[in-house]
Amino acid sequence: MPKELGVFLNSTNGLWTLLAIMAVFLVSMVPVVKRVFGKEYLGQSLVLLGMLYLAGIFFLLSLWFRPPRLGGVPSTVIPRLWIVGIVLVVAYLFSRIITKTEEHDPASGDLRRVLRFSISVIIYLIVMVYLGYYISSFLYLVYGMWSLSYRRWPVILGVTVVWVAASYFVFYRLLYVSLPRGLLIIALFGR
Amino acid sequence: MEIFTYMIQGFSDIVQIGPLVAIVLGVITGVAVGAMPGLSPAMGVALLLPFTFQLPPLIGLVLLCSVYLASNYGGSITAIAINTPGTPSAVVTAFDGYPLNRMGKTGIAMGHSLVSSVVGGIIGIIILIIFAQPLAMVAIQMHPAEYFALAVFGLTTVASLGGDHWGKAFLAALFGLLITTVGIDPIGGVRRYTFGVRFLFDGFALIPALIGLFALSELFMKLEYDMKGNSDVTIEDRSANDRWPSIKEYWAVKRTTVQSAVMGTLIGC
Repeated sequence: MPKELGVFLNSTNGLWTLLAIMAVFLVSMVPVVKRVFGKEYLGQSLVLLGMLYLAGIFFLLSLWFRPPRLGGVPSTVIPRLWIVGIVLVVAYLFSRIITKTEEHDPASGDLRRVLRFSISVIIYLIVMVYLGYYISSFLYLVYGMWSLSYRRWPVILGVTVVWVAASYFVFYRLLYVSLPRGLLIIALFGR
Repeated sequence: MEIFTYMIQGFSDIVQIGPLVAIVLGVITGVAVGAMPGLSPAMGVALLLPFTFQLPPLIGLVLLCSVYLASNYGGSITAIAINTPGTPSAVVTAFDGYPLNRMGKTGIAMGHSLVSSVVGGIIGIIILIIFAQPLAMVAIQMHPAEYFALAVFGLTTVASLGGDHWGKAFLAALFGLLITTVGIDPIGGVRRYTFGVRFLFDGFALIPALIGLFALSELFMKLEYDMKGNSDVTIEDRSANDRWPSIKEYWAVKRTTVQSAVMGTLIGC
């Protein structure tokens, strides 16, 4: 396998590329799964396909592991052992889906709320880099409680303020553990 | 018999105002630390260690031991209340404690968890004191083959926990094992699946994985199925009779408590 490909795939850009390929793969498999296995097995099939994809990626990346210099067991053995197990179990579970002996997917609720909340978690992590832990946590907790159908604003703000204040006093003042300050805050107010 | 002499001396040292206050403070702190997902008992001890530098050695040691033991129990509080174990040892508490909470029997779950923890801790300490030396002789006989056999035994236990869905449980266990290979290989020093990210050199930590597995999954379920009941998942009516277990109820499960305590001690050692 080309060494340059290994260097790229084992880099951060390679990680994003692999994740993007995974997302495209799973989305493209939705109509295929519906036609082959039926809509009632869509969720389980996508999970199994995701596991297969990840097992394949882990195996591919193991091709570029440095071999042991002084002999002994290579670093590829254990990951490949689990990959073989995953492939076998996935094959077994797919056989159960094909023979219709597996239970159907449970009825789904409002997946859009789950997706919105998942995106908010990612945004929270990104915002923390720029605005720091305290501001981003304040905003995230407010949004989180609101999205969980809680509408009593005095309680929302009270819980959020108390939590952020408690984090400050316990971690920063009492234990001298610095939480992220945020690049923007540092740029504006210094360290 | 020397050991009993030392034990009596130890008890006489502890039964004083200073150590007793340290025990109370340590237990309160330990329960709070253990209840917080993200803070493990060892982390709680590490965080409080600087406070003991100014204390007499006995009180410092008593304080840290109290924090460690209490935080092992504290994890079960959040495990029962919100299905998020505060410590790794409280994971199994969530399996039965949270369903009891959803049935409106939170007090019963908390009460049994507390007493079981106390009884288990006492029995474990007694077994440790009496059998520490012979157990150490057995422990040094364990070689890599025995450790591997134990690991395989653990995997089969995970699969058996899945019941009829043993295949999915086994798949989850294998996937977990695969992602634990992320990081620097401890034997060969090879970077595996780190993608140039420094934070992945040590692999994935257990506590964030537990929070993601339990807390986030519970959160997603609450979001997916409207909390006001407009979905397939119903929220059981809270029992108006939620209470702490009675002495009779504790006595009814005495055999299970003692058996579990002995089993846990054997597994732990």
